[in-house]
Amino acid sequence: MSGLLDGLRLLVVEDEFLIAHDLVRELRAAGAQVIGPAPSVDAALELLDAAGELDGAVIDINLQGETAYPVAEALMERNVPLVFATGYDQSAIPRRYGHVARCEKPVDIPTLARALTG
Amino acid sequence: MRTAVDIIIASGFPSIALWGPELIQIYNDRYRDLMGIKHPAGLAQPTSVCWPEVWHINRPIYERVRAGETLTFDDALYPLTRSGKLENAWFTLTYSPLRDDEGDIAGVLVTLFETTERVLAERRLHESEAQLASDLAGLRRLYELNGRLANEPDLRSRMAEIVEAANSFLGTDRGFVQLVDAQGEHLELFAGRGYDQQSPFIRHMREHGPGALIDAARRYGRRLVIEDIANDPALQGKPERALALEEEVLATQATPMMTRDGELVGVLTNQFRTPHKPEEDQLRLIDLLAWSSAELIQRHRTEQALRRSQERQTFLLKLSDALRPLANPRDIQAVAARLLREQFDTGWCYYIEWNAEQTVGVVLEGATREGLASLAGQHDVSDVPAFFEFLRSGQLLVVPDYAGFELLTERIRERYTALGVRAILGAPLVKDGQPVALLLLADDREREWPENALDLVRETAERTWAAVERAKAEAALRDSEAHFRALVTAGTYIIYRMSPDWRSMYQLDGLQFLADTGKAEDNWAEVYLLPEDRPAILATVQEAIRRKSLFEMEHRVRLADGGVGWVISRAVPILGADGEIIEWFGVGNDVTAKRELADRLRDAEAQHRHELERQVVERTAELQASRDLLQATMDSSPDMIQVFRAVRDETGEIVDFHWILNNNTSQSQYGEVRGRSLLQRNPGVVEEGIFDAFKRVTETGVPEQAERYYAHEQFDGWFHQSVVKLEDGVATTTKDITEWKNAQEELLRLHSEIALAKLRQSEERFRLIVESARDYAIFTTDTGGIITEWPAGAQAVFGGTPEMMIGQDVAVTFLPEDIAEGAPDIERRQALERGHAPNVRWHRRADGSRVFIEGSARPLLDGNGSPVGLLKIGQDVTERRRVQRALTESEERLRTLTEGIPQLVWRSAEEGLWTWSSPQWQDFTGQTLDASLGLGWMTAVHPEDRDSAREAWAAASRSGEVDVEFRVRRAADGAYLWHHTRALPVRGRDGAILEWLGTTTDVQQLKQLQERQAVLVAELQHRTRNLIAVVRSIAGQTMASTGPGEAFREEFNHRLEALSRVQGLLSRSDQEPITLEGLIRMELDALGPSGPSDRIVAEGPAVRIRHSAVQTLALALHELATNSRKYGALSREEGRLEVRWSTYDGENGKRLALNWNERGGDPPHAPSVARRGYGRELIERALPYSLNARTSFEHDETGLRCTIDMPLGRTVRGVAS
Repeated sequence: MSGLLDGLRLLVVEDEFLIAHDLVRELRAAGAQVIGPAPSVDAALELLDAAGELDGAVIDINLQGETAYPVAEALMERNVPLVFATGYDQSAIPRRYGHVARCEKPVDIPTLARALTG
Repeated sequence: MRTAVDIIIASGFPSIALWGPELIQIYNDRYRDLMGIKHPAGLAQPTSVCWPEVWHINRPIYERVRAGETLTFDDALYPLTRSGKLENAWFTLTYSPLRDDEGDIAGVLVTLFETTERVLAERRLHESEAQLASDLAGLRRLYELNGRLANEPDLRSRMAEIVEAANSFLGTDRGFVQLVDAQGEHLELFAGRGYDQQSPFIRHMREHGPGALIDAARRYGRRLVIEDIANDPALQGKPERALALEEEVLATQATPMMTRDGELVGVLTNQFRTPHKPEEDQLRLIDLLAWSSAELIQRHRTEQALRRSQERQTFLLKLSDALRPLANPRDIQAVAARLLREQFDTGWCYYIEWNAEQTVGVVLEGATREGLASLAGQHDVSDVPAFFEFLRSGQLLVVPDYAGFELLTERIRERYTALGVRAILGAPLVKDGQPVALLLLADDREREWPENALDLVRETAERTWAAVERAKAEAALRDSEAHFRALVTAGTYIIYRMSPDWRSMYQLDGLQFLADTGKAEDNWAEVYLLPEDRPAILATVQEAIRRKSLFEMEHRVRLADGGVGWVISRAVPILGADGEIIEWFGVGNDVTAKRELADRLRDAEAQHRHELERQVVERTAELQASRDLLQATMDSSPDMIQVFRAVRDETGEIVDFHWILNNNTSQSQYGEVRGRSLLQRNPGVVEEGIFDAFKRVTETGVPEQAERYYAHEQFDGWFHQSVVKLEDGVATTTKDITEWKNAQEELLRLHSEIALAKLRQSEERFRLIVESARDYAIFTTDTGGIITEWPAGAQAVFGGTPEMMIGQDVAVTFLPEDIAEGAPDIERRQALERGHAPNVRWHRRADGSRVFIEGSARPLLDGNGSPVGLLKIGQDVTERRRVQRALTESEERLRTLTEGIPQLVWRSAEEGLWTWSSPQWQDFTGQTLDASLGLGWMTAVHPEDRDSAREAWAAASRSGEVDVEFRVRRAADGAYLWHHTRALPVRGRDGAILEWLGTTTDVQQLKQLQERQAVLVAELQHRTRNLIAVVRSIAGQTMASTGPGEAFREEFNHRLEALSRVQGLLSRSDQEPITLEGLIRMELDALGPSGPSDRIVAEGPAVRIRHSAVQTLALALHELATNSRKYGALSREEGRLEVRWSTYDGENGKRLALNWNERGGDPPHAPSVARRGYGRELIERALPYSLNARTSFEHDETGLRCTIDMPLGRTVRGVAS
């Protein structure tokens, strides 16, 4: 599994501890350097400001009832590729973010890697 | 000699030798043919004997030859018989001398060389050269003729030129051209030269066709030449022969005029005054002439057709352009008539519409040449059924000579001939087998109508009709539209629909006046009608149902607010195809205000009457009082009291009375009269019977009282006198009651005045009804049926002025067929006998048109109840039927609307150009009607949705509907609410879309529900998939700590069960809030029986846990509880568990502080501690991470202590760990 995401700096935004935990572990196993995880919009934005260069981001849309779109917005502004790791169907995602790749939970790392780098 | 004979016999040419001085003939076989019948006698015969007839020619030749010459003659003609046939032959002859043995000339040798073929060939060549020259000359003339004809536009002149040319070719002065008519059947005389047009010969040909002299040429397409008409056997007995001879026509030729394509277009005929046979070369020229004429005619016809077609197209284009913008039938008819009249420069053109009975033709407006009388108006055509029979066939009416047009009666012809009509041309319009209209051209001169006029008048008629029908349909639509608008918008109408039997009210739109009913209502009568009114109303309803006709009644209704109002209610039955009532459609008009006004008026009248009556009563009372007073006076204080003594004669008879007493009052009248004679002072008492009364009272003693009018002597007035016997005489009291009497009369007069006032009122009311009723014809007749009154209503319905009608028999209002059946008399008798006679039938208006009346006749009675006349009341119901139709249409539209959920209603042309919006739309959007029209409504649509709206309209004409959702701005608060718009087209009879009817319905709530549903679904997806990820994570971590095997299965199952419990809670959280205590109890209960409850304390206030925190917190509590059960306080008898919690206000809102205390569990360094790793991780890492909690987890010998301090509100910040 190693090597798929070698050396990439990835921000993880996921409110559910257990999922975040697994995701981070798997990303690291694939060679990524994980920034986060952040459980909320505020935390994510804070990390984003401090993190410097990012190669990508994995974002859960529903963060304990608030949406992660402000984070997506900030990432898009910085031209950081991002992936939604979410339970939402494509149809539930606003058109504005229609182009953002979507990985259904539980996240499959090769799929995620393709979405981020491909 | 021998030699000569040898030569002759051997020669291949005919040869003859003439030997010796006698010229004895010796010839060979070839020559024998030339000898003819002279062979064989000619053999060895002297030639002078054999050919005596040519001896004089031959002899000099022979002599010259015998003198030694050899002579040759070219091409000598010898008629000879060959193959039994005499024919001409030509030979070249050579005469040469024949010498004897001594060399002397002893004879003549003639050899012949036949040149017949060459001669004939030469001759033919020559002849054909001559022919050619002659033909060339003829052709030159033809060429010149063609040149001339090319410049001659008129076909008739051209043909005349051709006849002229043919005459000159043939050397005659008579000829004519006949052309085949349009049907290709008959020959029509077209142009001629040399005839008197009125001659019997020409007339016969014109009327009966070409006859034997010419027709063969037409029928067989070959020239016919008759050299001698007088002696031609084929013509014997033919009528043409006699006529031709009379006309000095003795020979004739007729040449068919055929086009290049072999089509016969006519016949060119020339005739001769003597028997004559035209030369072949002449006839060849005639052929050419006929041929080029045919070409000319054909070209002419083609050009004509082209020009006509162009003219036709130009005209029709002009007509269409002119008619298109017109909206009313009168204008359409006027314009079409004007254009057509101008096109053909005729005197009149007008469009006549026939009424259904085909008795009246109506011309709204036509076109008339200046100076001629207009034909607009109504035309009585009730006497020409044959004419209508013809019109029904749809054939054009082509009448070049109007005076002789026998389909019309003399009456009609005289009438229009007087106006100047001489020729007419008409195109009838026949619809459903009946003539409905006629487009007529008329002229003030006899004229042959040109062919293009026939075509155009028909086309124009059709188009005019179509345009008029369109206009009518549009007008009807507009009417219906107006009606419809009135129905939709007018607040004073109440619309209702009833079942056929009126048992059930389907619908009632009461417009706040009456309570609406949305569903079928069976007890409508109880709801809307007052109990005491019901019988009368329902009886009228039953009558309307029975007659399937209008229900109309003014009655009281119970109002929505509980009060009582008045409506004029009218309902029409909607009939199905089978004539049965489908339902009733009714309109009620709130006339409460009007009724109240009328009531007030009636009250005022009543009050006035009451006032009069009161005066009467008062006066009566006064009078009573004064009577009492009088009585009192009489009894006690007499005004005029007199006492008389009787004066008797010797027989004892009373002859006079003498005053013996007189009071003051009396004295003031009489002066001192005591002792005086009554008869002397007042002789009037005898006349008035006072004297006798006095005598009676004196004799009988019976008192008398009387009121008397006494106008004698010094008195003039009414007196009340009371007489009583007093001794031998009377005492009287007399009261002047003149004033009282006058008062009494006044009383009577007042009574009579009241009666008169009442009568006047009633009369006035009657007069008002009669005069104001315009749609009711009301008039009166005497009992004999003579019209006595003819008010405005009758004038409006029947026409005719009072001057015209009064004095006429009522029968003038009846149709002839009804009169024939005695209807007027029957009606009159029935009305007089039964008091009522229905009168429902077609009537005749003064102008001859018909009108359908529903009404009756009733007798007019005088004071004694005897009839003095008849009152006829009738209503023109034609209009009602029209209204009924309009109502049906409106109903149709109303239903269309209803089906579209009539919230915001509007009407539109194509492309969404609104033509009307309902007040509801205007209320909702705040737009005015004008602002909403066209695409104005679009401004009330949310800008983001306008494209959808436009797209929906762009697709509408194809799909036949509009179905689109967009947001509409609500004026009240500026909010855009979702609306669902639907529209359906209203189509005309031809299926074309006339307009669109649409509704726009508020679907905001629906939309919100849909959105909420979408959110819920998304939430569900989120939760489900998260859950799977969580399960995977738990599985992974459990596996990591237990390794595979039974232990994994057990632990994993427990954790899944915990998760499952949480999901259960979450899914019920709408009904049951999730509390901390609930979570704790749930996890502890899940441990199963855990001994006496005093080992466990769980205490704290009710704290509600937000959804997003429930799962993580529950999992943590599950781990705590499970571990406690397995290894901690709950795993031992003496162990104790205390869970206490409280809330407090932290920096960023309310927080929860929870303490989990276990005492008497396993020692901290027991192997189980490792097993607590997962729970500990949840508490020390997951809770801070996910819930922003501060936690502690301590484990020592005394037990386990865990604290969780977390915000109860939304997580504001998280910290990466």
